[in-house]
Amino acid sequence: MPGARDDDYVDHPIRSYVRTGGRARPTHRLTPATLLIGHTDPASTSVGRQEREVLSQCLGVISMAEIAVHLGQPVSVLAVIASDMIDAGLIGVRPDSDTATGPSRETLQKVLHALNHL
Amino acid sequence: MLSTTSDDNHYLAPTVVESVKILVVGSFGVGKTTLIGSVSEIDPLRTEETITEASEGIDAVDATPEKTTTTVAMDFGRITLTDEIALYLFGTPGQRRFWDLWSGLAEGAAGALVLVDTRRLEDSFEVLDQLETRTSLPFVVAINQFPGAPNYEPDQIRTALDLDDETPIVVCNAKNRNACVRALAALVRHALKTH
Repeated sequence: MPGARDDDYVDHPIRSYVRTGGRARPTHRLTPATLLIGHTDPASTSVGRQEREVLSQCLGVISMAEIAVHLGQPVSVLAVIASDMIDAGLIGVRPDSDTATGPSRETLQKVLHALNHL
Repeated sequence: MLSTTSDDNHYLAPTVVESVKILVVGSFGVGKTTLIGSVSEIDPLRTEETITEASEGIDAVDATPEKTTTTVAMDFGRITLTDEIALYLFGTPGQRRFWDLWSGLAEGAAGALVLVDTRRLEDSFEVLDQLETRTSLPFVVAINQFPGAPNYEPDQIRTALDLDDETPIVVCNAKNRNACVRALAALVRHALKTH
């Protein structure tokens, strides 16, 4: 299965707390199903390596969970990095993605209709 | 470590502005990842978090008593349902520590599909208990009918799992895409009733 790892623990040469500057809490609500999109060409921006890595995964609309897998990072670590990038205007959030209040009735009806016609 | 997802569906369509998530919960080996793989437009992906705690006696699969850092994996997939809406399916065992770890996972979810193996009904008790006590999510029980597993009537399952009359029970072969889609539709229909 692509993307899956059989071993139960993968160490990283750089500790998570180094990547996040010691912070554990993101400033935005970013969940695995939050959709992001890059606002900036990773090649034309002077940002650090980890920001560029995230940007290189945000060339289209993509979820936090997918970016995390592609970068080999836990979602919780990505959330801290991505929060700063949102504040810096490098990436944007699709505001209706995985809202805390859940999908509206109208959205649920669209989802049901689509599932019934898959 | 890097995924081999093809470039064709690496990204969602640029028109997608909304994501909805459904949790697929159930004990180990009940078929969560199989179900997700049956309906997902991408190969199921696995994301991991590490938790630091005494893991002895909790996880029968990969726990080593001396280790205090445990890696918890969550498999997920996605389906683009309309030009604007993507559905994400997250598979999680649903034990207590998973809710703590994936805070924000249940929050905002459309609902949960509880996969059940009739050979091991007792394995579902903790998952159902956690769903009822820690979330207000609408849920549907989906029997993943394994070959040779006891063939109970839905009412027998309802009694055995102590489910409310309102909780739908569907039979679902996790390997069959149409059956999985029908189970998801049953969940969304149930969510609409309780919305």
